[in-house]
Amino acid sequence: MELEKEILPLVDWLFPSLRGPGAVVLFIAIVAGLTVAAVFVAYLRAAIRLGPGEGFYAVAKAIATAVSVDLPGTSLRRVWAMTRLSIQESVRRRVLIGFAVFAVVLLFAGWFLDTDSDHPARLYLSFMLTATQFMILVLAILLSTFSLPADIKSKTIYTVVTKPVRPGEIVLGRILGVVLVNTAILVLMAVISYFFVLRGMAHRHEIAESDIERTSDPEGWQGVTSRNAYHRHQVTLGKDGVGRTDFVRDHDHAVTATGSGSDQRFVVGPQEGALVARVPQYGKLRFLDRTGRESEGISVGKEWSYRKYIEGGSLASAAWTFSGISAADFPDGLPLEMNISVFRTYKGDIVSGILGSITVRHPRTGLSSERILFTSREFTVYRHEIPRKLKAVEPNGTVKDVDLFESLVDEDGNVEIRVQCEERSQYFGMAQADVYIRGGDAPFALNFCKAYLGLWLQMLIITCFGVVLSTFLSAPVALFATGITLVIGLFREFIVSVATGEQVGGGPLESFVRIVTQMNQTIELDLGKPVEWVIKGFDAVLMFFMWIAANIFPDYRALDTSRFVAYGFNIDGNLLAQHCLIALAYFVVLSVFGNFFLKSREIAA
Amino acid sequence: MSQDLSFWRKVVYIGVVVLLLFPLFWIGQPATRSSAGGILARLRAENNLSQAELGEIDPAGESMKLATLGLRNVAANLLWEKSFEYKKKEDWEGLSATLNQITKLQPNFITVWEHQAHNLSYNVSVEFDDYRMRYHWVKKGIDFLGEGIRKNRENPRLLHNTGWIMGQKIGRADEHVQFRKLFSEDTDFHDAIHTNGIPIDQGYGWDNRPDNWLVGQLWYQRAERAVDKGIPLKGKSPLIFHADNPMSRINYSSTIEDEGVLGETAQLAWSEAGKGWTQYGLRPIPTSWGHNVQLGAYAQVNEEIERLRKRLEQLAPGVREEIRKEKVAALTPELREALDVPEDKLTEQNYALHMDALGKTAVGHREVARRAPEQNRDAAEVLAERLIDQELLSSRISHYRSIVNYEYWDYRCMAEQTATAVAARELLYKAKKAYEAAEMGDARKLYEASWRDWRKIYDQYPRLMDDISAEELTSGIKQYQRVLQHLDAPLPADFPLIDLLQRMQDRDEGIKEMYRQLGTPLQPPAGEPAAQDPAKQPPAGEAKPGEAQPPSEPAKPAAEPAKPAAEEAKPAPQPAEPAAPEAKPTAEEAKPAPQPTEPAAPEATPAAEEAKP
Repeated sequence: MELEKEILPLVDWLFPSLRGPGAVVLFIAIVAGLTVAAVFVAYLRAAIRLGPGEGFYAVAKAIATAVSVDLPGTSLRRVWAMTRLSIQESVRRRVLIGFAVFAVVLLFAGWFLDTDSDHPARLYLSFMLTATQFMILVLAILLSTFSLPADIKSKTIYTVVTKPVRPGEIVLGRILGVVLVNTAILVLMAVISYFFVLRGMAHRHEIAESDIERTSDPEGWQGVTSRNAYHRHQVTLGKDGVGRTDFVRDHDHAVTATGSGSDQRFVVGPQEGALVARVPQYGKLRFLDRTGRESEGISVGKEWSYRKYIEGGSLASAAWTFSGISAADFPDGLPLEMNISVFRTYKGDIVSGILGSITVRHPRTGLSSERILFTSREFTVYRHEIPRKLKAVEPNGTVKDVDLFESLVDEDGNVEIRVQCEERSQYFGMAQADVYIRGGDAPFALNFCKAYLGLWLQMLIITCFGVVLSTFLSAPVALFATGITLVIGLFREFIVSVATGEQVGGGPLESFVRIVTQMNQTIELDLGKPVEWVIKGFDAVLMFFMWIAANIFPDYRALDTSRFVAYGFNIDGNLLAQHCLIALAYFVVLSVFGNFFLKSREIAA
Repeated sequence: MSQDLSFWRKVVYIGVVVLLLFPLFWIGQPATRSSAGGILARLRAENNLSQAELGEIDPAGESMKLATLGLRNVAANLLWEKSFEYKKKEDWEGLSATLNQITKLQPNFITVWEHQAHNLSYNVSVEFDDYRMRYHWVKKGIDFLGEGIRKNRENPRLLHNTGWIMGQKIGRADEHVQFRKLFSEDTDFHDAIHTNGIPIDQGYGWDNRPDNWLVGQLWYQRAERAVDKGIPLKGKSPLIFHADNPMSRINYSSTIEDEGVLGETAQLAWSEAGKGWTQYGLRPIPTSWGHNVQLGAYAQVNEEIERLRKRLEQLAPGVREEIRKEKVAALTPELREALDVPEDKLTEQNYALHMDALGKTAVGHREVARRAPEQNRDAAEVLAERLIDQELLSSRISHYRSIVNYEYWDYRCMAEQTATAVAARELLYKAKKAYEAAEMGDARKLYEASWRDWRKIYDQYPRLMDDISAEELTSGIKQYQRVLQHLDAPLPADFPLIDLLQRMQDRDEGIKEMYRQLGTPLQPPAGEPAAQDPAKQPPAGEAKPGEAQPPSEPAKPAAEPAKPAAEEAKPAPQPAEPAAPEAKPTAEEAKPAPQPTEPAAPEATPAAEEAKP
């Protein structure tokens, strides 16, 4: 699986380090900026209504009350009462209809899924998680944006505000109520999805008598299974009658021979390996060029520059340094998994594939193992066990037997693994996440739950937005505005690329002019300097706000961890913790803003 | 007052709504068993546009279309964008799934099926290094087209495209040897093809297994049947469309010979191919001039022209020459001089004048008829008109024949069936095997025996010399040259194919010159025998022993014959294939040179033809 952004350890992510300014600093800066802007706007509004002096007083009083009275006086009991009210309202709004739609989607999912896919698990999981994501987010938007405005419109809110309840408690209660209802639905969806995926992946093969035959070298059986679920497997059994199928569509099956003579049967077990959660231990990648010097790797001209390439038949190599490696964790050697890309500059031998080699190297002494050869395979993860006992080549050329952990791993647990392409003028391409040590597997069900936790966090954020926006906007407008935050969050990457000018064709107005006049994106505008200045000036302002919006609103795609589950990788704890903190930050900030908005609305009312 | 107004306004609105329901009913009434329905329903029925007429109805597609609430095109656009993104990021599963979604939204947009099938079979397949995966993705493209055919009942273009990928992609890719083997053993795929309505047992080759060329031909034939049933063939030249069917059998015959299947089997294959080609010649091909032509009727039309011409000469004896003389006399001295220049003396300077003079002295049939003796004039004029019509038809047939290289393939099918050709091929194949086994002496003898047979074939069918069969021999001749180099022997003075070799070298020089002029001179590939001018090369007896080889000539590595195949695959210094995976396939996927290309603006030709004498 490709990881375009490295997953940072939580501490590095939170606090300033070499890898960035740290999330805490950014959070404080954004909150400070927003607070100043909000106070300024509130003051302007109050100044217009009450005059500059009175206005200042009113704003200062509101802030002081919030900090000194409202915050300490917030009662969990009252919040819970509001939450219950919100839950009752949601249920009354026939929220279960959303769930029914989900069930219908599942019923007809088979129509939309390509059952002949090479990676069915990936497809099933992506579909389920994406469908759930959209259902739950839409439901969250609808519930969160309609509840408060409906109360205000029907004036039932007065039965609440006349009680000793604070605006902050109302906002919190609404958010928690909607979140709890949606959580219950999400849990139901998760359980159903889980079984749907299990059912979708389950299939059986049989082996007909005519499809298998005895082999003498090596002694055992070889054959093929029946074709089920659009595929069949090759089967190899040892003389003990136990064997496995080959790996097709990300899974294999255990096969056992039972009985003997004419009663002999071959039983194919359930699929294994399609639903996994690999726990990868990533290393730090650096490239060496053809002379063995540090380099950045070669671009072979692909549009996507995620992978860099190394030249074959030279000293060029890709070197990963893995840390924290110990014999206790990997007593039998290092289970290395790779997904190396191949770029041929000439046809060469089509049948055999390109030869590569792995060398294990001590990071400081430079003692290297002998080359372990492998043949490249693309777009699939393949495994190489690096054994404990290796042959190492000393600088003087002598070869000796060494133990991996004693001679090639340093005392801090660091080890370097180098990959080289062995064929001249052919290239291997790789990125940091393409080679990793598989540190076992996490339970798939747990990983599935983690992905749902990611969805839950998204739902929490969108609910906060919905409730807060509905404190001062009418229901349809709040619905629209919350929808926009979702759209911005889903297309954040594109918006940022427009805002920073990366996208060819200029800003929104310039693009519009180009579309209307059918002008190519790459040619000059050529509309006369004054017109161009107006367009570009207008765009610059728009782009600034787009940039701000893209950075303030949550990046829902970044919070989406469904790819990990679909590709069979464990969702890293650091990543999950980061996402939880991001959601918490939105929850806190939006609750505070909601409190003030509702308060100001109350005053206005 | 205002309440009254509001009430009346509502009454008016309701009235308008009710009124509008009438035309709506008239236009949109659905068809039932007893009635043909409203205007829209009738128009749909007349033009076979109802969903059920277009092809199989897909409930998923229909529900997706409904779910987009009329924003189907926007959704399709977004999906296209997404598919580009997946392709860029090499997420082939995502790409494949997205393409399926696009076709669910636009199941009757033929170009989508064609474009994306090509994308899968050609562009995505080459991204994989493992040839088995490549084959798998070629099949995915074919399966994708199969789905398109189900949704677009017997669409000839989709059927034809399926035949194309099955034949050309599997049969001509760099990995064609492996692809063809995988195809012939892929029983699951054979079953799928059979389920798709192709009688695969009719596509069995000499080894009693399905052959990609022959199965491809079955798809072409099905496409032709669809066209014959009246389904319009949009956006494809009928000339080319119908040529691919017989070409499949020709390609099959040629391929099995390359694979060493010779003798009677090959002879039989060529005989079948010849029959198919003749059949193609008899098929009336629609043209852009509004009438049909038969490529095989060319000789017949020319005979008719000859007959009419003689008759015209009889009706107006000596008139043509008389008019010509008058025209020559009217020329300026300069033009008269240019007219007399023999063709082999024409230069860049006098060519235009010569052609001008020829044009001015050309005598048209109408001119002859007008000057015929009075008693014959009416008959001569009718005859002249017929003659002009026949000449026009002849030139059009000739033009169409040249596009598909009709004559060449006609001769090729004939020549390949002869015992000499079978023997020549057998010898050539054995010579190659001997070369690969590094048995240089045997290889030389076999090559030389083969060249003698080839000479006989070329003497019998000189037209073959101009084209691809000669091209196929070039690799053999190059290997022969290497054998000679290895044996330290010069090219024999009586080398039977000296003219072919000369032609090859001229062409190579031409290509080199072109690259030189483009500023990117070609480097000779390692191991390639340096171009030698056969005329300048000393004959066997005159070769001086120990004479130094020219420096450009590569030193003959002793181990060379051991790995000739790998050596031949040596790339140009800047190989283009992997660098531009998006680009339309180059050599591998391009149609073979002698195959037809789209007729170039045939509308423009009639005027030019008429101006001809």
